[in-house]
This record gives sequence, structure tokens and C-alpha cells, in this order.
Amino acid sequence: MMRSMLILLACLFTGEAHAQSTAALIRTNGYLAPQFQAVYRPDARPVDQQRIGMSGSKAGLIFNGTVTPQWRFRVHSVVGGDTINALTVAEPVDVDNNGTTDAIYTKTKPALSNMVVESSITYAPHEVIQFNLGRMRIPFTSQAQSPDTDLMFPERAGPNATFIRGSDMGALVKSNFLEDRILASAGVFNGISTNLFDSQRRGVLYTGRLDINPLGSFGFSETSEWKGPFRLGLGSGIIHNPYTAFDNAGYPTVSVTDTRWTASSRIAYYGLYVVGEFLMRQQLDSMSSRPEWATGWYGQAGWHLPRGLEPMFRMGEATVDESFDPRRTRWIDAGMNFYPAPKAKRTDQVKLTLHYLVEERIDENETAQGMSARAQVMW
Amino acid sequence: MLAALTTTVGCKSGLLKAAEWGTFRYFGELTGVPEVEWDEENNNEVLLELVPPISDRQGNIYVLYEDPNGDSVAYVGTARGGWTQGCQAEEKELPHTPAEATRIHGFLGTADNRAWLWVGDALVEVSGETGQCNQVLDADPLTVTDLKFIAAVPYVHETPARRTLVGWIQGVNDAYNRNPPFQVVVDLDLGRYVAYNEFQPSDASCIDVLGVGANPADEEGVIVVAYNLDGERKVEARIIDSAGNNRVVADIALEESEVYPCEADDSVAPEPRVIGQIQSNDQGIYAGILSNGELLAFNEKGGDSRELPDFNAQGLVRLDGELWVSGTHEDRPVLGKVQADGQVNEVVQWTTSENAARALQGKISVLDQRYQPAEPIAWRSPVTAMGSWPFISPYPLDEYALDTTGWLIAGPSFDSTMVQTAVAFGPVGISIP
Repeated sequence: MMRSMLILLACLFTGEAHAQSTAALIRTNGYLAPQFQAVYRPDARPVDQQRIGMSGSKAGLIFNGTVTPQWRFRVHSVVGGDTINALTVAEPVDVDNNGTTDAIYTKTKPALSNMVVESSITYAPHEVIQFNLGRMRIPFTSQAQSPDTDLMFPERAGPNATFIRGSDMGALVKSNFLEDRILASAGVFNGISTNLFDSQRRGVLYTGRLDINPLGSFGFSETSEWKGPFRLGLGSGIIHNPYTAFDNAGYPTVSVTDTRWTASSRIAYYGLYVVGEFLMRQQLDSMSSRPEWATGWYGQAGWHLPRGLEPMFRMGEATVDESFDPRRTRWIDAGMNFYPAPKAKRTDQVKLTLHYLVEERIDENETAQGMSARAQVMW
Repeated sequence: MLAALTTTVGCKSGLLKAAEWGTFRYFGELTGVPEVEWDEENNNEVLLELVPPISDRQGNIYVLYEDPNGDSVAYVGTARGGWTQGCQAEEKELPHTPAEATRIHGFLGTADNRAWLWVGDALVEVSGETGQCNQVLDADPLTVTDLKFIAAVPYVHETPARRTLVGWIQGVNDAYNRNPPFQVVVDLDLGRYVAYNEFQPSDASCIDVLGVGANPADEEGVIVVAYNLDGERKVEARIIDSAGNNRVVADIALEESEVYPCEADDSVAPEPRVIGQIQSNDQGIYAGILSNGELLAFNEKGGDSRELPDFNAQGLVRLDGELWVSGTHEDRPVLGKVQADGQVNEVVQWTTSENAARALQGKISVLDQRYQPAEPIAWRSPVTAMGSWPFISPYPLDEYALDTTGWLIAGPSFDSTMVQTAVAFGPVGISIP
């Protein structure tokens, strides 16, 4: 599949472009990140109690194209990312041969749920403003703005994924003032990345984010090198998703407003990168009188030391369904990144990661532990 | 806009105030008349048999009703509107059930999009997605013996991996002969038991379950049982953890308890039974309303039955970790707090219940969700469909949202072969008093 995808993309963005004499400057980069994982869940079903093996590996391919200085595009595809168990067989089973179905025999296979992480067009008429259109990650949280390859840990924090995950189709306008000191964005999206349960619904997701870096430009890479002066970043984001749910006959049943809010703070100083974020959600509807509240927070720190070592630690907690039956989950991550190729163009082009994670379901009295070893190579 | 939204979301909102009703959702016409309008001498009228509704994590609503034939029917109101037509649990009556008792023992708990209930001899799962009812462990998977749940603890232990519940099961003959049952942990996902223990003492006879209850905060349930042993009649409260182990066995003193021969077909246990379910407070005091009007109260050290102050006890309500006995005094709703020693010393007027009933007076807008698309209609002064006042029930009230429970109201009725009544679900704010 990876090979066919590469061929397809190559045809789309290079072959066709040359054939029409409308060549675009395309810079191709990508990454490979094989990962070994061991997970231990002592309270799970026996089949799920231990899982050891290669899991969570990824291979990504990124095309950054420039048609003119104002018009650009970007395609980021990943293989081995999010998988779902797709139903492949479902057969009724009549155990006692009495003509009634006693059980359903099913078979599932892992399938890719979302291969394209980003495919967007950018129009930048002026250096302080640009417009993005297509599939992209909603810049709601601080971590949502970090590229996948520039994360400190292999995955984003658990609370971040509770409030938003994946990418979405939409349009975004980004502005940049005072040499990256003030970054603002606003946009509209379809709203498929907010983890709402599947139902027939119609609505538009509005989003806005403001980041202030008073001491100068401060990117969202979480693996800063042993350099640079002190940097401070403060940010806040909001998602507002009003929509109407419809019944099977196509008639409206209930109007819903789903609003999420976040505030973040970051500092960086000679390889030290610290970020903390607080998240909140409220969903109201026109029928139930049962609001859905959720809150979460996480804090993480890593220190990229001169010899290419980066010890890191992260802790976070999320509480969902606070308004009727709170369910809390706590995550504790610890690990070490090692950058063995300091002479590469970018220090983090080769990154080895050892990661230990504890996930504690507080109200359900269940704890899972896992560790992973990952090698990531970017080009 | 961003500033306004940020301000809005910073303040959590959307909850109902005490005695304030949310949207009423009309789901069906049921045979029966609400208690407040029931004329016992009218042959066309039977009492509307309902228990307080329950909700799952996804927001689906479950209503349990017993029709005049004694069959249990479960209705499901989906989180985004609309109701199912009602599924029959297909249960059978437990042997030796008193003639005046209903088959409904109540809801046992919910998970993401499912609810479980105990009716007659059956543990039943109701799907919030489809509204379908399925009996759980209806027959022994190995011997295919028809199994009867003579007790089911109203607490579903839920973890990310599994959902389990503790119950007592027997074959038909053992249930009829009141022999010792098996205490099992039922895996509700697999529909089979994953652990079991024989009832001890194994030579006990004439075993009668008097009531069940739970303390979900401590992840434990309780079964109150009476049995004959060595020429004595013993009554015990067995506090059971989620793994199916008896954590505590506490002696209960009941005046009416005495050895009786249970071999005769029509023999009836001498002890009063718990009406509804036993509930608990944060101090570990369990209490239940007995069929003789007294209060059964106990903790790990034991307990007894005691008379209540001068009021008509009809229910229990747990709120903010405290347990209150509810009832009426001079036809007005009252509450009495269950103290640390199990006593109820004094009662206070329950103004929230009165206000909730008062809020139903006049023209009330109801969303008719029996068919799609739903349409708003008006009811003239509906009344509570359960109990004498809102919130008064011997069954636990659902924590629908913070300081909010779900309740059923009865609207217009019409005379068919028997009187039918329109019933709707409504969320309502609750407080003490």
C-alpha cells in the first residue's frame, strides 16, 4: 500500500505538473518510526492483559509544494497510524437449532481509518497573513500545533487526545504580527475530530487560537536543541460547534452546542522545554437538561542536553462526564530521547525514544502500564 | 465572539434548579392509573406499576413498567430523541412470590449504552441502541438447566475491560424447594458466570431473600436473607464485594422471624420483605422500607427493624452521601434523615417535592416522541406517575445529572377495556428538603 501511495502521489504532484509545464517546486520529506511496545493491563480480560510486539509504528510522507511564493500546498500521509477494527464477517449463530439467533459470529481486521493527515492549500498574500484550505489539524491546543515528528513523546498527551484528535476538513486564516510574537488563527471546520458520537448531524465548527510570545519567535517544536535564549509563550484556544442532530427520517431532534476552551503556557531555555495546558468542555442541548462537562490538564518537561540526551516527564488528568457520573483518567509518562546524529542537518533527524506510561482509570480502579522503544528517522 | 464564548464556557451551566422540570418526553400510553388518582374500588382501574427511570452514560433513558398481566416491559428513550416501542423481558414469576408483590425488582445499573434490570426470575439486559431486551444467563451454559435469579445486587461493577454483577442463581426445583443457591459473579458482556460460591451454611433450608441493595461508592452490594438452621431461624445481611466474596455477614433482628416449615406449597416466610431496594449512606448505614411499614437499618455490625416517627414511610432517597426516608404526613411530603445509629428522629417538610408537583399545574408543554418527527403538545395539569409525590419511591433515584433526577408524569387518560394513561419522562432538579 505504501508503494502504491508513493507512486500515486508522485504522479499527482510531479509527473502531471511537468506534463502541463506548470511545474511546482516540491520538497519531499518524510519519516519512518518503527516502534516496539509492551503493555500490561492486569485487570483486563486475559487476552488483553499482555501485549508485546511491534505496534504503533508509522511511516509518513510529506510533500511541501510551492507554485508561486503566494500559493503553496502540503500533503502529509501516514501509513500505520490510526487503525480501526473493521468488521469483515458477521454470521448469525443458532446454538440450539431452534430457528432463533443466539449469537452473532464476527471477524474483524485492522484497517486504516485516516491515512491523510493533512492535504491543504495555502495562500499567503502578505507575510502577516495566510489562508489555508483543506484537511489539516485544528490549531486548538498547543500540542495540536506541534508537527507529529516534533513531539517530545511518541504521542500527544492523553488529555489533549480526549479533547481533540486527528485532522479535519476546513478553512483557516492565520496571522502573524511583530515577528512571530503574536500568532492568531480563526477558522471553520466540519467537526469530525471532536470525538462526538456518530449521528446524523449538520453544523459548522468554529475555532480560534491566540498565541503570544512576548520575547520573540517561539515555534511549537517540543524538541528544542541546546541553544537559544529564554522564550515564553502564552496561548488560548476555543472551539465552538453548534449543530443539529437529525432522526433516521431526516427530521431535526435536538440542537446541540459543543464548546471547548484551552489555555496554555510554555517556556524554553537552552534545551529545556516546559509546557502546561488546561482544557475544558461543555456541551448543552435543547432537550436533555443534562450538560456534559469535561476538564483536563497536562504538564510536560524535557531537557535536551548537549550530548544528545533528553530526559522527559509528563503528567496529565482528564475528567469526563463531570455533570452526571465523573470518570477520571490520569496519565504519567517518563522517558528518554537520544539524538545519536548531532552532525545531521537537524539534530533530531535521528531520534531514539524509550518511553514508560502509566494510565490510571481512577474511578474504575484499573491501571495499565506500558513501555515502548522507538526509532525515528526523518529525511 | 471569541471573548463572549470564552466567558460562557468558563462558567459551567445547563443544570436544572431544584423542582424545575426539563423537557417532558411523551413515550407511551400505559394501562393503569397513577397512585394519586387510583380508585381501588373501580374494577376498570389498575395501579400504574412503574419504577423511577434510569439513564446510561450516553444519555439514553430506560423506563420499566409492569403490565396488568404481570409482564415487564422496558422502554428506551434515545439520547437524541425518540423512543422504542417497548420490549418484553419474558420473565417468569419467582416461586413463593406473595400475591400482592410485583415482578419488578428494579434496575441494577447501566453502562455506556446498556441497562440491566431484575424482574421475576430474570436478569435482563436492555440495549440503549436498539431497545432490545435479552435475558442474561437464562440457562446454565453446560447443563442447559433453566436458571432463576432469586437475588441480583443492584450494582454493576464497570471497568474498561468488563462489566460484572453479583447474583444468586438456582435451578427451578431448588428455587421451588428454597434450597441453598449459588452466589455468582456474572460477566454481563459474556452472559455467563465467571466465579461462583456455594451458599453457606450448605445445610440451611427454607431460604428466603428479603431484599437486595448496594453501596456503589464502596463497590459493594447487600443481600438480606432468612433461613432455617438447626432449629433456628436466622436473618442476615450479607455484604458482598464486586468479586463475589462475602465481605461481612451481619445479624439482623426481626421480631416476626421464627422457624417455619416451608415444605407446604402455600407456606409464606414470616419475615416482612423489603419494598424496592435497600440503599446506603456514606457512613455505611444500609436501610430499606419493609412491607410492614417499618424501617430495616443495619451496618456491618448488625441491625434490626424499627418503627418510624409518626408518618407514612414510602421511600428512600440518597443525596450528597446522606440517606433520607421519604413519605407523607397529613398528605404532604416529608423527609427524615437516617442517623448514624439507623434511627430516624424527626421529619421535615419536603418543599422541593411539593414545588415539583406544583410546577405541573396548568398547561404543560410535552414533546410527543412516540413517533418521528416529535411534536410539541399540551397537557393540562399532569400528575406524578409514581408514588404519592414526586421523588417518593422505595427504589433508588437516578443521578441523571448533578442534583437532577429523572421522573415520570402521567397525563390524560382514557377508558379502553381498562384505563390507559399517557406517560412522559421529565428530568427534574432535586434537593433536600
